[in-house]
Amino acid sequence: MQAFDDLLTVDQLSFSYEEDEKPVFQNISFELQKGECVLLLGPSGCGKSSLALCLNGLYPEACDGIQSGHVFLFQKPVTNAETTETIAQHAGVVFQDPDQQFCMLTVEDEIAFGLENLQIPKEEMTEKINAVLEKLRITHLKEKTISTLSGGQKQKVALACILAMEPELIILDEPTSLLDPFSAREFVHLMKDLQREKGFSLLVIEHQLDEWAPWIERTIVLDKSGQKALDGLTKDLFQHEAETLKKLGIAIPKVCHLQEKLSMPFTLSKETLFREPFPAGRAEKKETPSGNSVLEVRSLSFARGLQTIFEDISFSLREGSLTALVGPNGTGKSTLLSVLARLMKPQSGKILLFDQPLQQYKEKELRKRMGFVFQNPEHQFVTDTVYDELLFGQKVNAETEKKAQHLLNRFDLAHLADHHPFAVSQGQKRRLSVATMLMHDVKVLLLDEPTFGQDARTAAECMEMIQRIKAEGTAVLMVTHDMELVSSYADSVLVLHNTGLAFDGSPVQLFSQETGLAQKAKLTLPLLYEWMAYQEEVRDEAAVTSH
Amino acid sequence: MKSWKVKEIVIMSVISIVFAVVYLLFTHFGNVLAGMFGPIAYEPIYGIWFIVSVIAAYIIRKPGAALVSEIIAALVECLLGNPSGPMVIVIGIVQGLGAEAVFLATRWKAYSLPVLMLAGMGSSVASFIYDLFVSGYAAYSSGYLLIMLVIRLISGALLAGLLGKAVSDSLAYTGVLNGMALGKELKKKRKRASEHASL
Amino acid sequence: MKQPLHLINPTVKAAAVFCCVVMLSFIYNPYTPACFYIIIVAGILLAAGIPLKKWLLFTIPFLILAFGCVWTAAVFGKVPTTPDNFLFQTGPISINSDNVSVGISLGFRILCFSALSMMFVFTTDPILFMLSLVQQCRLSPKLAYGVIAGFRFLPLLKDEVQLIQQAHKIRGGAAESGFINKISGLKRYTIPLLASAIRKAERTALAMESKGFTGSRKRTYYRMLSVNRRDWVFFCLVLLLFAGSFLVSLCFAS
Ligand SMILES: Nc1ncnc2c1ncn2[C@@H]1O[C@H](COP(=O)(O)OP(=O)(O)OP(=O)(O)O)[C@@H](O)[C@H]1O
Ligand SMILES: Nc1ncnc2c1ncn2[C@@H]1O[C@H](COP(=O)(O)OP(=O)(O)OP(=O)(O)O)[C@@H](O)[C@H]1O
Ligand SMILES: [Mg+2]
Ligand SMILES: [Mg+2]
Repeated sequence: MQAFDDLLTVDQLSFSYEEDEKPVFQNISFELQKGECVLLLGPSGCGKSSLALCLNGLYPEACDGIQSGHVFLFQKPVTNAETTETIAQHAGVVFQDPDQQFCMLTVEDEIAFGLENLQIPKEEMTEKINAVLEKLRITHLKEKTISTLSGGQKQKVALACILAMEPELIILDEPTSLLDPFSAREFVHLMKDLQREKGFSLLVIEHQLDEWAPWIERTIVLDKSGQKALDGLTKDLFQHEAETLKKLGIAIPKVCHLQEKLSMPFTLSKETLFREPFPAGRAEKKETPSGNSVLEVRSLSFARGLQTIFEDISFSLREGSLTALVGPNGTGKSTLLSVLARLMKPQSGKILLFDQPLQQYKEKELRKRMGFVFQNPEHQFVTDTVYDELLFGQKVNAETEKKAQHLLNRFDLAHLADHHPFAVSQGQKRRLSVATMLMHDVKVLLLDEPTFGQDARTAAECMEMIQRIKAEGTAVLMVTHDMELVSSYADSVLVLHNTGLAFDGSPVQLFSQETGLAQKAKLTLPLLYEWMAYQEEVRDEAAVTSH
Repeated sequence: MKSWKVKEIVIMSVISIVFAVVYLLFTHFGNVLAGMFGPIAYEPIYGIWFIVSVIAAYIIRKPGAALVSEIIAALVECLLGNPSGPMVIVIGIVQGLGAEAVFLATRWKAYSLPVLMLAGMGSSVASFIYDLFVSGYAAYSSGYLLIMLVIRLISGALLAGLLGKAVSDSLAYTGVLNGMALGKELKKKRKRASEHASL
Repeated sequence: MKQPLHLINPTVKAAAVFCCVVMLSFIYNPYTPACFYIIIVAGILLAAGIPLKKWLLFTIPFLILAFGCVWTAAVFGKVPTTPDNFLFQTGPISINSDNVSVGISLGFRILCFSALSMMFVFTTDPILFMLSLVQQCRLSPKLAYGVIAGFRFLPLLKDEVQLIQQAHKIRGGAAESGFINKISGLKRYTIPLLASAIRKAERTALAMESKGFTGSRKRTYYRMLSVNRRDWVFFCLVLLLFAGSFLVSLCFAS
């Protein structure tokens, strides 16, 4: 039986959403000690989010699913409806979608709500709320309405709610997938410090491991069918089981990738790697694209009420090129995209599509030429099944059906064809929403974070599909927070920062710029460039001390 | 409310809130009409104000659904600025009771179209009694009142009963109600149909 | 922004309004509601701090409604016309003063209702009202918090409609402009709108439960509401004012 300081014991747990469907995950067993931190990895759609909800007893009750096996928190089963209160006190979850976790109007009330449920007296409540806001440095948000916050802020508020309740176990479901790289890094460091200070246990579900892997000691890996594939020390897994992980489609930290390429000794920490001399000639230059300009933007401005989102922006998208649009959370990248797609009217400025003003296009003509993928995948969906979603607005014939089937296969969605688009995993939603636009032969494709929430394999698959339509001559504009993606795929980059375009040029230029623009715009450097910068810094320091 | 799940309550309240907005639009629309043609102008559209009762009861199928949903809709309408103020909550209670009485008569077991239409008519009767006293309809002549009542009954049966069922069924078809009583019924039906087909 | 009326306990405020409405519905003379109406309007403009412009804007629809009631009661009133109360004749219909006076009373009654509701709506935080119902009237917290959670959707409804429209545009299935198309579009949007609202409600319920909400009465409150002397004074004052209006009507009637 369980040891006495076991916080969480999972015993042969299986779960399925529908009665006669194959289980989402099966026969999972593991234990978690008090104060232990664990990374839970697995390919997209393997059941991580569902598992998280089973662990704190919300499922199967809330979704009428079927569960077998047991979950014990402090040796007590969690599947008992009457104990929800106490379970929440012991285990808090931060959900995958930041819009999913709130039930009150303001930040203050939201945090108080959890405390009220725990029957904390009012005086203590005020104290606790202030303390937790202080800790996360979001005191200025206390009286804000939650729906007006940016994605990153919402994520922090969600964490604040959980922290205030002081649970022994915190489950984070892809907490940084929507954050800009700088905020993401900040968030992970914050979690690390908090964990050290408070000593709670932590279960982190993530696809982007670079910041987590160096300090979370244990890793559990699920395979595609939702069975436990590996369980062990993070270090050991990435050192000895890298091949297995890759086969499962799980992202390997970039540090490991580089080491492998350069055949250096294994490490998970950047600092150790950086001490090695920088391999020469690594950052290759790409040719700047030279196709015809397809979409031309001239001194575009947009304001939401009194708030200027961006002004006087000019750039152009070229035939057969991939342009990345980057910038911190809340600068207006998504807004810019929807203005370009004529979903919102700009205050001033011109947009020319094939040398013709955008307003002059008929609705049908425009949509035939231009594709758009919303940041929130759910906004894209208009039908009731995954399959219909692909064929919506298309003539149904053998050719389109074949194409749809092909896309389903490529994006690993074939087994979900008759699911409702909302009843699939977050990563699957993302892939489906991108796939709906790949069905059309558009000339301009606007993508808002097409790869967030993806595992290594599906992200690569997605980029490959984008590369392919690019090769067919489509101009692609892609918003992303993933700088590695920018550095390895983009032909040019636009940086949106403080209501203006702060940069328009090639990725190499951006990342090797001395002006520190990348840092200012809350971008992190891709690992290679970071290494380069580090070495230079060391060299400069050495030069200074030798003088 | 003991046997209710939190999910059911929140879903009911969200439906009520969406329809509270519809109610308020109709209130203003009706007010303009009534300004021109007198209170009888309300009657043909009166049924729309009972639709939440029918939808909630049909979807959730628990005692109290018709009554409570109508009260919430009224409450929200009041907070949004209905001319009758908190009084609209009382109207809501009366209308909800009218529909609930019909479901009570079936012991909350039957939810066929005739029952739903009857529920709409139940609300019509209850609300008419209310108007007779509080809105001062008692001051009108009885012939005029009779015409009003008949129109309201028809409106209740069609706009609340029939339309309410149609809306709920199309909702169930999208799959969002899979966790609710109506969705489960639909699932069972489909399963049976597919079993039949495979035989 | 905080005017005296904002500070009154919401339940007490609602009760006061409720009492007034009940009492008004037994009155068929025009003087009481007219007099009471003047008092409430003065109260709204002074004690509730509602700007004159806003008040006018909200009153206009009710003026139209009140007018409708006046003429319906005047034309279809049940008091038969006698030489005593005969006023004038329009076509086949004769108008008498008794019915007209009832009509005016009904008209003012509606205006009173609207003014009372304005007083309530513009000075009451809906969330506090729900909490007050829980704390003062022992409403089930399960229901109250369910409603509060649903309340979040209200401001989001507009965005939601917009999003659905945008999705249809992007996917190449947008309705063309024009009135008929708009109406048929309306039908196309209601179901998705409701569906998405329900889906969000489901998640909200999950969020509530994940934070330990069971709906039991055993909970503490971050926002404590109580009924104190000030609330009772307000309540009595409202009743007194109503009694005053009633007395005035007696004077006029005699
Ligand atoms: N509400 C639902 N109803 C039915 N099936 C669902 C539902 N939600 C998810 N699924 C299915 O269950 C499986 C697991 O989903 P889950 O969200 O747990 O995956 P995940 O591991 O979190 O993936 P991701 O990394 O993409 O977020 C998926 O195949 C998905 O299609
Ligand atoms: N519906 C809305 N109502 C009011 N303000 C909004 C709304 N949507 C966005 N904003 C504001 O507009 C600004 C730009 O938002 P936008 O979504 O375009 O940012 P973004 O660059 O896409 O950020 P992210 O990287 O987080 O997706 C933000 O400051 C945001 O607060
Ligand atoms: Mg997930
Ligand atoms: Mg965005």
